[in-house]
Amino acid sequence: MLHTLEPAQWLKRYGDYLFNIALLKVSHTEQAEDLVQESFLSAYKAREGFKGGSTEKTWLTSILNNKIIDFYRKKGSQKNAQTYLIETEASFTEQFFATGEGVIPHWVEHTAPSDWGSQADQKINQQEFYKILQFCMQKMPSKLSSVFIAKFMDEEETDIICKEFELSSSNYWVIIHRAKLLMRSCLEKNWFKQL
Amino acid sequence: MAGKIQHIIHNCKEATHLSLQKEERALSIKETFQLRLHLMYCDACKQFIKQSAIINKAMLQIKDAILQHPPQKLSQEVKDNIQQQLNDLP
Repeated sequence: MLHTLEPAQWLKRYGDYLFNIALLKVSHTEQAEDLVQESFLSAYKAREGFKGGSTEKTWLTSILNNKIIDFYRKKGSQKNAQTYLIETEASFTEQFFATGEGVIPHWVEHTAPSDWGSQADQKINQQEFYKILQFCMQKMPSKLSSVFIAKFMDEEETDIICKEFELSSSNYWVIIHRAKLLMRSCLEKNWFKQL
Repeated sequence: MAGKIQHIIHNCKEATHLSLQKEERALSIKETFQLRLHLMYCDACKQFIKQSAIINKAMLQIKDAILQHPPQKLSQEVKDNIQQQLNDLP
């Protein structure tokens, strides 16, 4: 089945949705608003080229994603991932693992994952949970969250992400590792331990 | 050798790093051994692996959750402005 576009309905149907997606990826409300606006305008201009192979929502989301990639490219904020990762390595490791000369990095008591209970799987089906998940993404340094989101929310392939963000494979994995550690501990603190 | 094994057993940083790669690619024989050995002794890392899977699942569902209940709303002013600009386009 081919999908069609209904531009008159876009704002009502997807305005808030795209705004929230943008808010996950850029930190400021105004930037997110601008990106949503630009996306709708570009989409409208490009509507003749829509082939109907994806849903309207998917198509609009991909336009927004391209705008966001351009936004970060212009800011040059994905450059120097290497330097960033090296400079923050020690302080990051210290947050989660025992460190020191000759110390093998293992969990320390207050950072070790605790049991989320047998119902953990169901606890993510609540609407409230997704507010916490958003909060935790927004709290992460954007160098980490942008890659984490591309991988786990947008389900992009690793080699595409590496190209897009100009990352070596090993830096990619360091970023995924850090992002997962931060996300896990944020969710534990703000959701799974609260229930 | 004993030192190496101690290193594997205690290195949660390395074990969690490997466990994440395992979500996406097959580990080498050496890496598989390393991770299995670690997990024999480390319950916290076992939890980490389970929780990572839960997080992945949640990340796949978040778009739908947002679509159904967007936590933030565009202000009416911004909406009107966008609509106006759309109307002005040919």
